[in-house]
Amino acid sequence: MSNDKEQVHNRIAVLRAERGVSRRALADALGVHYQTIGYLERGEYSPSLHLALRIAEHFEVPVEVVFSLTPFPRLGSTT
Amino acid sequence: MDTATKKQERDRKAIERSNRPTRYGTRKGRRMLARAGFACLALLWADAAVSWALAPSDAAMYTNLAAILIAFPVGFWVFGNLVPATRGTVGLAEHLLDERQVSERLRAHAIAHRLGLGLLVVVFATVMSAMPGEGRASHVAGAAVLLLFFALLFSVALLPYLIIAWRLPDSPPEDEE
Repeated sequence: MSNDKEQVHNRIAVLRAERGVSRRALADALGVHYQTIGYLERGEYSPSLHLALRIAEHFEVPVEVVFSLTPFPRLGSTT
Repeated sequence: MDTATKKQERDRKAIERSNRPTRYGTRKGRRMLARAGFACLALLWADAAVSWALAPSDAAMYTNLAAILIAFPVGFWVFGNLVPATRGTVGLAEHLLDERQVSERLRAHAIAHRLGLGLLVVVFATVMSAMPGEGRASHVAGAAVLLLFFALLFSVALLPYLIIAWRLPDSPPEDEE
């Protein structure tokens, strides 16, 4: 579990919902435990660079679309 | 069935076993198991302390018998439940774990290593203080030293697993869809 300084924010839950992919399906595709996806989405685990790149590759987006060191703006916000 | 297939089958069964439903799969349940495990270890240490003070005597013998009769069945029950309760972080071979589970296991081993080192120093100092020296004879029974080492052995072996059970956070809820 990472502390606040090392917090990596992510959009996995948004991307997963948008693509209609379940946690188990994503976990199977990435070869990780399905709970790991849940911990990632809750921000309780920061992935290795390798896993982060594989998640981005799975969603076919650049890694900075999925992960950020600063919180992502809420959908619909102007900033 | 060739060796590779047998290994895959064994791995599949191990993963299935680690994912079977359990009433101890929550943080509260895991901490309850960890408390029971810590109590078993404490019982072994208490048994060694009683033997250290009283052996050889009937009191030490009965305490030893009671400690073994309680600690071992409870210990087996705890560790039998730890594998599904930690979803395999305890018990599964490392190649079957993902990076989060491996890092959790490593962190627990690091904490347990520090605790084990502390226990080792305490046991060493205790045994050295009872060694016969110039002008004094040892009054400690050999059985007490043996029990002390047993307690140390079980503590060093089992602490990492109890620490994992204690530390793991609550599982994320299942998919809502």
